[in-house]
Amino acid sequence: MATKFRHKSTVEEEDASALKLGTEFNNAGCLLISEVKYLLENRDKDAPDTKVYNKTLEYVKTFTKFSTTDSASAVRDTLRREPALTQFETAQIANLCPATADEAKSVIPSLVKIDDDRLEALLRDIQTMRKYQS
Amino acid sequence: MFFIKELTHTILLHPSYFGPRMLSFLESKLYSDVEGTCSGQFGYIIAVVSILDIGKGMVLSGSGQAEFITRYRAIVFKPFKGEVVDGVVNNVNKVCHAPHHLPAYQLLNPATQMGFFADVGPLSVFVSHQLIHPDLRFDSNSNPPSFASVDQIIEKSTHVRLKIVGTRVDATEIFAIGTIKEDHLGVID
Repeated sequence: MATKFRHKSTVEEEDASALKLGTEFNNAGCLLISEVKYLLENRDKDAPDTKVYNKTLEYVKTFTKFSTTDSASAVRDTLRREPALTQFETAQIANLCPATADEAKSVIPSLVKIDDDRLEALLRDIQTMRKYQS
Repeated sequence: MFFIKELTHTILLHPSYFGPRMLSFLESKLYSDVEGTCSGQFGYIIAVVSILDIGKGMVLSGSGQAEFITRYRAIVFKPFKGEVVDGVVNNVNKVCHAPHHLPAYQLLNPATQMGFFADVGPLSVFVSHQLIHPDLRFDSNSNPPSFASVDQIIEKSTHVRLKIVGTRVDATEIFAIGTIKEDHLGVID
């Protein structure tokens, strides 16, 4: 019992709202849903017939926000304008496409560090890109 | 969240495979070994994107098998507590008669709970009726079963935005519970 307790206290608890993703994922590269879709559809090998793969493919097809690689990379470029954003926040903004700064800060709480006006401008640009992607 | 991540996998190869087609065998073995698997540490390994290094192949004394430590890059999916995700409702649970104040671990046992399951990629997230806004009431007469309010309905294949409030990690699977009882969460078009 005592050893169990000690073990627990050394492991940092994961919490995405505070950007704590654990040692393995704190610095890992995040992918947008649109990028996952592109990678899965442009695989040079045959698709593996696993439940995990098929469910993921269906999911990314349903929730992809940017249909072309150009628009996905344009979104990444736009979000790069704000250097305070982490990989995780960048991907969450592009995946969820919140319409207002208020909504963005509610679904991605760690965005409190960013000024409302600047965030609003970024979100507006992304909405425009979504609307006019070919 | 989806990640691109460098991982390693150890393959033990029997001497009968040593030969000209060994490399292609190792590659297909790597694909079939890791794709579609799930671990608590890395989440779901969805697909291998590229193989970085197939390994040197050290012959083990005693058995004669060669050990290849392969490095590869893969798309992985791992859910985090506090993360907001979109999902598709897969099943609305009608089992009820749950006692009111359940201990936390019971929330992960859907058999005792009324609520719904949503698919978020490979992951299935359970949203208990305690974490659904009280305006959305379980409609026992609808077919398929649903949660409905005056202007919203949650039934099979509805798209919802939810927040993951907890995960439980098994050797080969991840279970998650979510909430839609907060601002900006719930049914999406």
